Amino acid sequence: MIGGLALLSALATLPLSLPEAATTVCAAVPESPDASRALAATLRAKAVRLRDSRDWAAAAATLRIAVAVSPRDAQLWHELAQLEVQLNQPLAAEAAWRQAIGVQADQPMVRMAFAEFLMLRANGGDLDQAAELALRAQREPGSTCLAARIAALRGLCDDADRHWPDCQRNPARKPARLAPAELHLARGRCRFARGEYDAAESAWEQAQVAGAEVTALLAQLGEARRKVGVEARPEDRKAMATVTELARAALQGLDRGQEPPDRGLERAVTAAPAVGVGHLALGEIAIRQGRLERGEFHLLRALALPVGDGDRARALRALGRLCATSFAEPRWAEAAAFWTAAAPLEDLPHAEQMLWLEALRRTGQLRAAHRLVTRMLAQATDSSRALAADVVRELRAQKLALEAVGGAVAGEQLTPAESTAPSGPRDRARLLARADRMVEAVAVVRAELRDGPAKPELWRDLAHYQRAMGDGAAARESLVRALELRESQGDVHWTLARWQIEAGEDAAARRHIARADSLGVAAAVPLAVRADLDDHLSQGWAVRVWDRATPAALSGRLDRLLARDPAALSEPDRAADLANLRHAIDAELRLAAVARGAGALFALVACAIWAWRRWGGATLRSLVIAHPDTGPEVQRIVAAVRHEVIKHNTLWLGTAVDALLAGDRETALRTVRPLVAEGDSPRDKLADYAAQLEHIGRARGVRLNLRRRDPAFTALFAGFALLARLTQAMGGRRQWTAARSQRAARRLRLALRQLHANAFNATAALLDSLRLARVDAELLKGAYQQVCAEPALAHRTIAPMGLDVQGADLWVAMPRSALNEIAVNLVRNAIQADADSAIARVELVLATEVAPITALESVVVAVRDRGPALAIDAVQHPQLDHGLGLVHSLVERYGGALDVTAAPAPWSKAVAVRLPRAYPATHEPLASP
Amino acid sequence: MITPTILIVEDGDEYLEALTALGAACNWVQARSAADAGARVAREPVACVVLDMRFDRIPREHLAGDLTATVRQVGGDVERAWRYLAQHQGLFVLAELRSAGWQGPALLAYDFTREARRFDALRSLYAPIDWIGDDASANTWRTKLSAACASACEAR
Repeated sequence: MIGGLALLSALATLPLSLPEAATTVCAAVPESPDASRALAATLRAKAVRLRDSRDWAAAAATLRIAVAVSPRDAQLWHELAQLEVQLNQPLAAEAAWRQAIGVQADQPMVRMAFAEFLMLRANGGDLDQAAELALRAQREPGSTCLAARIAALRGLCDDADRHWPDCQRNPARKPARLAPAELHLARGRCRFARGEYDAAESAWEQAQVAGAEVTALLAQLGEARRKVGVEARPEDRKAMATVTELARAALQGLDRGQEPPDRGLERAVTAAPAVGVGHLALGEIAIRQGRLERGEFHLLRALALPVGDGDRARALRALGRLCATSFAEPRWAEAAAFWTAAAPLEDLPHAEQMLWLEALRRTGQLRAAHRLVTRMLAQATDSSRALAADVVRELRAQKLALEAVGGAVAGEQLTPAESTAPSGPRDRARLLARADRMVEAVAVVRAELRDGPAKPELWRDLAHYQRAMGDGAAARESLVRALELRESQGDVHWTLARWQIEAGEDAAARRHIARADSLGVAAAVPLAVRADLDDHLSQGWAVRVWDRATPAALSGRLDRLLARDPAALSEPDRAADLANLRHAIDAELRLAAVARGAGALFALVACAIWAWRRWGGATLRSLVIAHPDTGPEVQRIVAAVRHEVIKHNTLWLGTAVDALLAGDRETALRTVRPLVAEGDSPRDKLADYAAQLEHIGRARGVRLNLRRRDPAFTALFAGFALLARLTQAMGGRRQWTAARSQRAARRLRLALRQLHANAFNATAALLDSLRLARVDAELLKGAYQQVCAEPALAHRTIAPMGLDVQGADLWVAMPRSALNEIAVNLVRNAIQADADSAIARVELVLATEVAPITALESVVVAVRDRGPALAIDAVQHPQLDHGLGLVHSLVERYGGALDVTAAPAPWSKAVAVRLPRAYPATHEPLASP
Repeated sequence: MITPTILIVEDGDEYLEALTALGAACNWVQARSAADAGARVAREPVACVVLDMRFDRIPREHLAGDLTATVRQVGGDVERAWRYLAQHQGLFVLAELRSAGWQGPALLAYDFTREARRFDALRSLYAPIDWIGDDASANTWRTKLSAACASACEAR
């Protein structure tokens, strides 16, 4: 005892930096509890001094000795844990706190500190356990504040709000650590993550009052509001109310086992898509109907929108069920995450609890599984929800199995009591490592690995020790070995990936990130998504703009991550990373959307061009109306088509039809073939004439579409095409039956109708439509008045026009403008010729004339005057700059003739224009001879 | 029974081939100009004449008609006058036949549907005549030819 005290005194004055000193001390300390406590108190005082001088490592080493001297002192463990936190040793800190709670359970302050540590731990924390600890520390001031903050981080916004009044009444002793500002910030983030922007704004305003800087958060809130259009117009609010009403009714119907409603809800949600409960109902309906992907989409969408706690829990449970039971390959990791984030255990049916347990077990979350089965057993013993005995037995078996496996896998104790007595080499190695004796720890683990069967957990421990020694390559190799032994360790993949990234082994790291993601490691999701996004971005732009599925899938993965881990947004760094990632994915989605839009526009334009080329273009009639000078040539060609293409064919085709009906295929073929043969057939002539017409149109900038727009040519081309096919069919080697003969005869009649009835009528109508002008007294009077008003004749006295009309209803095939031009020039020429008279006097004659032999009628417009005589040659071959020159060219273009004849007194001559008379169909009814 | 002879006056062989294919019990003969046609009707009894209207595939010197008068009529253009004669050569052939004294029925292969007034004028000049349109069927041809031959028999 005396020697121990002396040594104690010496230790109190010496700096303690070597953990080995602990062994010496322990050996020197007598068995007396009082002496141990005294020694521990001395060491604690020493540690306090060292801590105050900011020598954290020495202080921690001193306390480690102290807890070795007095392992039942919870306060020592607690202080050691706090120092481990200062030294950035979270595992050691957690172990120390567990020891503290294990040796003295009734320590609210320790529980609170541990809970806060778990809440703030860098890798996302163990919020469930933190919440449980905070709950048990209810007597401690500030415990409700902590519980409120933890609830906010867990996404249980309503719980956080419920704890807030208690927090105000019972604030923390250390306001700096649990400041109300932090709590309000967390409450706001919780509401914001759930899309409850008004509540988030209220909480952040409270945080602002409490001294927090919230400008950036409020800006983010405003942006989010703009995106989802929360600031809805009154009509949108009405639509949203309709959706809510329909969705509630649908959900109640589903609960009662009724059939899903009709599509009214879907239409309402389309009109007001920002109503979460609408998506919830649609999601459940879709899953009920077997449309699983659609159902998942709607449920995730519901979670991204403002919904109440009950609806949110319902969506999460539905997603859990969906992931666990509906897909061919269950997505256990996601299912476990959804159930974990869902309602309290008590609200879940037993079958669903079992599925949750299965999901936790399959994804290696053995500690969580153990907690769950423990709670289920507690629930089973509750009289209100008593379960069958065999179910209880099954749960107990599950719990035992988890306890048997869980400690080895998780590397952590399931109960604090188990950790108090190191029993195996692994524990020894841990203790050595905690004492910074890494070399020995490695040696212990290696010896175990040499002697015993390969254990992946030992390789994991070894990797951590090697890394602590600075041997990163060996550490990574050890983790690889651990994975070779048991591949489905998501956290090991994730750890290895991070170490590989640090070592610059990006390619290998990406594989492990992807695997960790697939095994349900939430922290790996952003990096996995980033890696996949990088892959996508590395592709050519052509692939990127058309591949919308990849960024959409990445966006969905982020959605799922946030749905099951809303706390991610409450950590500034992770939230910033996720925001950046989301921004990059959204940019890709926008790019794809723009590309699709551009593609659609391009396709539309291409279709329009194709349609314009196919169905656009002008008809012959529109060509002639726009360019009257083409009229005569067009008429000539159309008349030639009638003569050379349509004529004769009726007879041939009628003969062929008769032959076919008589079963004489050879005769029919011999009759029809010349019509479509290569060479000088009517079909070739038709093509030639069509080409001539198109050439006329092109010369005037008009694209004719004869094949599809002009009725006459459409019918002709269609008829010949039919004939060509028919000829080919008749010339084939297939057996020629009576039925085929009948069919061919029918098609031949159809061709006949196209080529003759349709084409003939169409060409007749076309020719009619090209005859444009009526020759009447009005026209001649107009021309006369126009000439009299000309300035060049202002000095002349001109008598009123004499008019001799000898016919009625006279038409000519020429534009009225050309006809007017002819009349004006004839009148002007006559007045100028009568230059010697004081009063110029002319007379116009309108008559008809029938040609000998051909009986062709002409319309004659003659102007009589008193001027000198004109030679016939001067009229029929006039000078081009003479007025008659223009008349001559116009008359000749339209098939007429210019002539000069004698005229009765007092006239000296008559200059006459003779134009072919036309008979418009509307004025000359069809007549049969 | 005597097989009637039908004279086809055309500048190609289309009507001859097509009408032969009708299988009617007729004796088909062909002339390619007014002179040929006049010689034919002078040489043998012709029941009916089928007249094509446009003759643009025979030499111009074989075209019937007064070129000088036609030149004046069409405004002094000789080329147009030739085209005019070719365009309506069927009627010039018929006029020659009539002036030569042949008064048999003539079938003009021309569509007068929209020129009824003109056909009336022609009928007053060259009766008995009839016309058959471009879209006539085989049956129409048979009917028209039968009617023409019958009128020829009655006239004889």
